[in-house]
Amino acid sequence: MQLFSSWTGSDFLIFYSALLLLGCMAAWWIPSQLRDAGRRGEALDADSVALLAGGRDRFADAVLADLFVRGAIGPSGKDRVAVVRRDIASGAAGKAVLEAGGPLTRGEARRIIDLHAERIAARLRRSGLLMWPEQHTRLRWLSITPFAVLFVLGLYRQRAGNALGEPTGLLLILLGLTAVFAAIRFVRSDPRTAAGIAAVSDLKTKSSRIARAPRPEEAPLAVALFGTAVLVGTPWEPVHALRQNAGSSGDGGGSSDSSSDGGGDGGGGCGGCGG
Amino acid sequence: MSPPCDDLWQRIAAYHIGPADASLNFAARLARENRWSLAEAELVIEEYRRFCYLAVTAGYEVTPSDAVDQAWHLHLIYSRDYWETFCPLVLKADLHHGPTSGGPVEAGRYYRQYAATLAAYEAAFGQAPPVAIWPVASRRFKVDPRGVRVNLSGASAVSRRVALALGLLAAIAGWLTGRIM
Repeated sequence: MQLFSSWTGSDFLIFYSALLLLGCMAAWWIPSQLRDAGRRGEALDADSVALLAGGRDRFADAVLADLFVRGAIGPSGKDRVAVVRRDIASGAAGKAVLEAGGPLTRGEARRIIDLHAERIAARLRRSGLLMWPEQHTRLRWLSITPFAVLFVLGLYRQRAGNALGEPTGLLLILLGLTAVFAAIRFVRSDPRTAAGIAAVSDLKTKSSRIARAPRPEEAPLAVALFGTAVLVGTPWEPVHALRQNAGSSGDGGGSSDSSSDGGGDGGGGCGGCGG
Repeated sequence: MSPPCDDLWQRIAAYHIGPADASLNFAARLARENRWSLAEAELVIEEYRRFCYLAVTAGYEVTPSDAVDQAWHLHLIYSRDYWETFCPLVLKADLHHGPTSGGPVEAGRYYRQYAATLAAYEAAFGQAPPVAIWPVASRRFKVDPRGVRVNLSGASAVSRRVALALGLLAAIAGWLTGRIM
């Protein structure tokens, strides 16, 4: 018996397109249902939050923001930072950046602290906020199962159509699209447990103020949670420019403008001391 | 929300700025000058009251958002009300207005004050300030300071997006006309 033997090519294309749509929905629904629950534990520091909220890139941004805000590093050209003071107390990752010395790009800084990122990731796995690699791999494969089934089905029909001399170009395009969706789903799979996702979500809800204008001591956590965009309009905007430049051509495409006058008014009660 | 219970806040909350029987009262004037609705102006005035409370209680200089600053500017124009009643009887302190003298150092100082003001607001009123009136730093220090006074009696203003859409439509219409004619 030949499956779909009575279907015309256009019938099958409509059927396949509908299944592809359902497959996309399933590929995003499956991880939400099968993700490891994990567990909530103690309060998280900014480094852990950064890794949990935005991965290793975010972790590097948070470390650089912390050092920049405290005056340990400063801008050096378009896309580098240079160590200004080495005597600033900092975490292990911050110390590694300061010890590296010379002007660093964001990518170089990230490579220097990658080992520290791995240590924090291991701690988050033990805490139940990140999945273990084997759990994550299993979830990735499960997430793309709908696409795999669909691909096999489409390939079967394409071969059959090809054998009968039917045009199968559109079906090949849909097969390619299926493979691309599967690759995206596989690569962009969230490695956090449900508890890890909830922990970040709760922190974001509680931290709406620092997303607008963090105080110096809050800047690393703000960057950890929301990215370097929260530094636009602050005195630490060069950290955001560093990320932007690193994200463009590699040799820098924009420029930071920390010298903007900005504006503002202030006032204090009687001599600034209040009543 | 948990507004403070002290006497200072009670006095500020109960205070009506300017003559109550004026046909163009403080809120209506604030709305007209900023092209806000009356309801929006009333919300800004409420936030201005909170800002004044923080200015007296925070223990350091505070910086308002641009919207709150507009209310403050207008209140300062009602100079008798501000200096003879509001400051001495309501705040029981002089609240001076200090515009920036420009430059990156001042920009940094005002940013830090703005961030500290938002933190003081959250601590005093039990919630983060409303984002529509107390915006993100990028808007407060990069966009809002570029505002200018415009008399719209002989001019029109459209947003860049609308202007771009209109320009695009005109270009398409011109191209189509050229093809048809």
